[in-house]
Amino acid sequence: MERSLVIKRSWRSQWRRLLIYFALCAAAIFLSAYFPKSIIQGRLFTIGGQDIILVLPLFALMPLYGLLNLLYPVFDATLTLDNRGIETRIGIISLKQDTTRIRYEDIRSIDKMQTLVERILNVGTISIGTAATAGVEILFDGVAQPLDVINLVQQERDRRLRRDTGNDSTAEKVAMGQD
Amino acid sequence: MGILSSRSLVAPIIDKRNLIAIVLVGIFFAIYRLSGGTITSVPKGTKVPMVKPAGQMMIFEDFNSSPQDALKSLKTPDDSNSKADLLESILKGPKKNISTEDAELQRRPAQKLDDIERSLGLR
Repeated sequence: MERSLVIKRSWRSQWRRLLIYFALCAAAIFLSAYFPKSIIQGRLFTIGGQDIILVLPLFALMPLYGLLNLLYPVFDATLTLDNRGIETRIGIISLKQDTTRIRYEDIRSIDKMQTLVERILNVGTISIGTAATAGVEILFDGVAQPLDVINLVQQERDRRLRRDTGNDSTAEKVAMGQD
Repeated sequence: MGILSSRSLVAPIIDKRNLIAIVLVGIFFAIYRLSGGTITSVPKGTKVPMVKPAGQMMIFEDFNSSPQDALKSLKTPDDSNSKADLLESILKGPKKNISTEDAELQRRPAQKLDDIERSLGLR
């Protein structure tokens, strides 16, 4: 594996948040029209004898919350596959960032979990366990085409293990020959 | 890497995820405008008139009345209490849409009938 492959949570995995966002958009328009007094305005600053006035519909803050709630999980985490191993970074746009890295050779199990809707949308959660821990080392949700990702990781792990086994047997032969 | 680098400029093209994010933000600003939000500049000291949300025109259609009035006219029928009259008034719409001739006819149906009968020589 020459280049690194960066996987983020897919948009379609956030279908619930998308629905909430569009519902809040419709609610904001209707409620702003029904309650015109909820639209407040005030002077921001003055430039060259001109007052810059902000007119703010308070109900527009609802879809703003929905939008941030939608963007946050998509841009907050990455799963990177490169020639050294697998790395997850969770909390890229948060105050606390959690980075986990495991080598292909150390992977003990790799599984995917999907709900019914996720199967329809072809997204899922990937869990990777290592020999070092009894539980799961990496848990990454919202991965598009999870089966392809699992196959890619398994192929790379098998290739590494074969290579290591081959090297070991060659080293043993060399050692035996020298004796 | 600077914000205004060439990589930032082509980011929406090379990654569909960024393009979708830009579209979603654009939808939010459209909603903001439809809700009546804006940023305007006026001469210093000028009082700004209250902005009417564009969504109000789309939803309530009646530009001259407030949305509360528009809904109130649907909720409280004119001069009637029965369910049939309520349904009729909703189907008919606001009272001002009725032409003056029709309104007069409604007010004096018996007299209008008398006039017709007289003109036909029945009386």
